[in-house]
Amino acid sequence: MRAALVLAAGLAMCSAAAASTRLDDSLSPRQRVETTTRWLYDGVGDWTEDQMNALVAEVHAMEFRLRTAPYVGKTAEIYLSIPQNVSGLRVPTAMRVEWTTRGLFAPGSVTPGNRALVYRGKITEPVMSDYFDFRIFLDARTSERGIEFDPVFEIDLVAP
Amino acid sequence: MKISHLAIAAALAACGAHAATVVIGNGGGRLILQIGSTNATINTVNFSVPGTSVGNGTAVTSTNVTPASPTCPANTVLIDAQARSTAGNPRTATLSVNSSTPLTSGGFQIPFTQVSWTSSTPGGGPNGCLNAPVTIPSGTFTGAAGQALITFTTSRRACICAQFSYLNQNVVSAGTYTGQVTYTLAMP
Repeated sequence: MRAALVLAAGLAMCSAAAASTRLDDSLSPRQRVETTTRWLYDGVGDWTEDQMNALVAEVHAMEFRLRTAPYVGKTAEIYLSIPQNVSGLRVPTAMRVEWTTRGLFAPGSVTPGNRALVYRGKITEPVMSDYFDFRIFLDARTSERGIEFDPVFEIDLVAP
Repeated sequence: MKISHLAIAAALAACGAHAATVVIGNGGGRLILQIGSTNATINTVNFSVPGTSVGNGTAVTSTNVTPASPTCPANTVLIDAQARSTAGNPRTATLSVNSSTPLTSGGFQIPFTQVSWTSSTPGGGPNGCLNAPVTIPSGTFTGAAGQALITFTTSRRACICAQFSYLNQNVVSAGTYTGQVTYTLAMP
């Protein structure tokens, strides 16, 4: 009985992403990246309250290696998403993640609970990798002492 | 039981393994204090008291501040204090002033308790206090080393254009009296 309940929970976790499949990024070399915030508008200035509370944190050259072997030869869309609930963040809308890449994946931005398209086309490699430079914008009025989140890559198969 | 365990493993594999985590630490608070000019210049506030009016109790408003503020009204000094921290680490900032060293002219003194200021927030242009939600009240120097002017919580900004006056309540020897006050913004 107990095993059956656990199984049900496992299936429920997957059902939320039934339309998309989470890509395995465990091949990525850096599994945990730590950074600190700085004030986006620093120094003397006629800052508004929003500007005074604007924080930014940067992560440079975070490499993601996505296991795409099961999809080689298929046409797909790959999205980068941020979970709705971010640890240490009081309001999801108080965070925005921007990134640039080295070219395989598209640059973009996303807020918690949403996703952004980073690739559309035929999957040709069993592992797709790129370096991401992240800028994470936060609001000091809704930020706790530490914030932690997992960037998630999802894949959707599409008609060629 | 064994079959159930296998089913669980299969379900999790379908979700895909996930590894990368971004951890963002708090970079610390920030204090920003500007008194007068943006550079290292110490602004000078000048009072001119006619000999016939010395000590008559009629306050004399400063008619000359150098260098002039680019945005505050003429003869006023910008006082702009900003204290920032995150909501997870709220802090309280205090702006204080040290006026314990009196103005002097040779061996004569005038305490800073003879100097007051009137606050205004006219706004307009860079550093014009347009966006400051907190006003520093008008007041008079107490001559203390740590006179608290205002206390406010993060992340906020207190800003005024201060016009200084010499209260002229005492008869003093003729001369040019000079002195200096020092403002401090602290956030324990």
